[in-house]
Amino acid sequence: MNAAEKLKSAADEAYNLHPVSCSHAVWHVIKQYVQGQTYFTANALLLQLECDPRWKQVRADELQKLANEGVLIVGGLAESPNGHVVIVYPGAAKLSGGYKAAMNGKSDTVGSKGPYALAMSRSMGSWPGATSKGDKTVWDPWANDKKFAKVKFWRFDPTAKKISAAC
Amino acid sequence: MLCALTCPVYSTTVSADDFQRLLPDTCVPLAASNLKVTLAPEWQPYLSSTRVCTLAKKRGVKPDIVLISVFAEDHYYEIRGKPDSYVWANFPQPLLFNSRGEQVGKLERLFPGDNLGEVELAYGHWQENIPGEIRTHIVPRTATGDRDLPTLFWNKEKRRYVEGDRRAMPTTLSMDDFQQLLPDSCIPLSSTKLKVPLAAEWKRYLSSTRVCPLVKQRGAEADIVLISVSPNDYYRNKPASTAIADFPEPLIFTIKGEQVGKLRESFMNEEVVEMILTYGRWQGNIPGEIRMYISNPTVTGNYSLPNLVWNKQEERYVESDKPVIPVKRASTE
Repeated sequence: MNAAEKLKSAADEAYNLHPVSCSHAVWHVIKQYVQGQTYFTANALLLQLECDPRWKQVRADELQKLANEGVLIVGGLAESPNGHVVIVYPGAAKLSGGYKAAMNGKSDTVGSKGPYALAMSRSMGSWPGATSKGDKTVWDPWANDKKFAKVKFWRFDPTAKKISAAC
Repeated sequence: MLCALTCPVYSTTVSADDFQRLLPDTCVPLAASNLKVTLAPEWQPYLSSTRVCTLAKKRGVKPDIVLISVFAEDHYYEIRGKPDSYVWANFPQPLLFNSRGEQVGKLERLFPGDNLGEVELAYGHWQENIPGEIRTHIVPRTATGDRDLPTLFWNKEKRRYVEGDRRAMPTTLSMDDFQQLLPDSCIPLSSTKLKVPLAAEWKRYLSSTRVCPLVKQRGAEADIVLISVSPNDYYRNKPASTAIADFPEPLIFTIKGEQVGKLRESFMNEEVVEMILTYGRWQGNIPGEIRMYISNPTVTGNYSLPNLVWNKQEERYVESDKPVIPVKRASTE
């Protein structure tokens, strides 16, 4: 199994194991790469990634290439009361949107905003863009350009050292 | 022939101004009716939760029009316990059929309700045995206030229901004398004589800028207007690769061109996000309070913004102390 296959396998497993919790699904994947990783809610995990030197921020246009090399990437946005986190999923980037969703009181197809990296995402909410086993993109959980511009992505660098237990 | 002609149950009606309210309890399962209509394949997964509602003039009179709608609660009751049952399904929109089984109209929202609220239907203004008007009233599940959808009018020539003009309809149903500002009531800035001093950041969006009058009642003159960029206007005919625009926040002006307030977020619908803006508590011809509720079905969830309250001394709108309040827990921690 190559690195990308390992990442895909971990993401698929997480997707199946944690259908209603983004943070548990993401935690499941991180545990395959980071020994002793403790569970954090989405907002808390995002704070952790900010200060842990093993996690390095990457741009949205680098995501798919890195994931296809098997690099673990977590993305997310902290919000009140609950944020949301995703894993970048290996494969070929695809156009965002294209699925039906209840919007403004009626069912409509979410328009595409161009190609984005694939995502593994779970949510207890009903937004279909947040349920993805590589069939939707990292844009879709938020489905809004302004919001997505605030979403940050971090790749895990196994060669870097963690400075302290808590940061 | 339609079940409408043979169904055992007719709508129990509540008379009000010659209008009758359609009661959900009077709707019968599609399978229990003799209805013969052609439904698109998208209905297939929901047929067992689909009901037929007759729009009868009075009890015992065979109706010419029936409504077919998925009862979402029935659907979720049936599939409870199954994986992903919490995901709101892409239900087909309710349809109206005549007695020959021809589709004669469509409703915007599921009857008797969907994930966003309860849907009340009233019908009346009879044209022989056909309701000349079907009115839809929305009671949201959140504290945003009731509102009406455009009335469906029976068009004799077309032999079908057509939607009333959204701009012509009352801006809302009353909710503590509050009215909803509808984006459709906003007109391009370039088509008005309004002179408002806009900062340089507006320059590139002027052709997509709209003016929304906050009127006390239909046909009245407004003293206060909202100026907002319409993202739909801006992105229309632009390629998907167009850079994300950072639209300036909507501004509130008097019709004399004095800025008297500012909104935190875009008023006009932006992608899947909708702001429901209501205004009321009139002080003369000025809305004393402006309320904003953001309907966001994504992981961000719904939330209310602080109200804008008219400050008489400063002659401008100021934010109330109320913080941003998340209304719906949409995501997962």
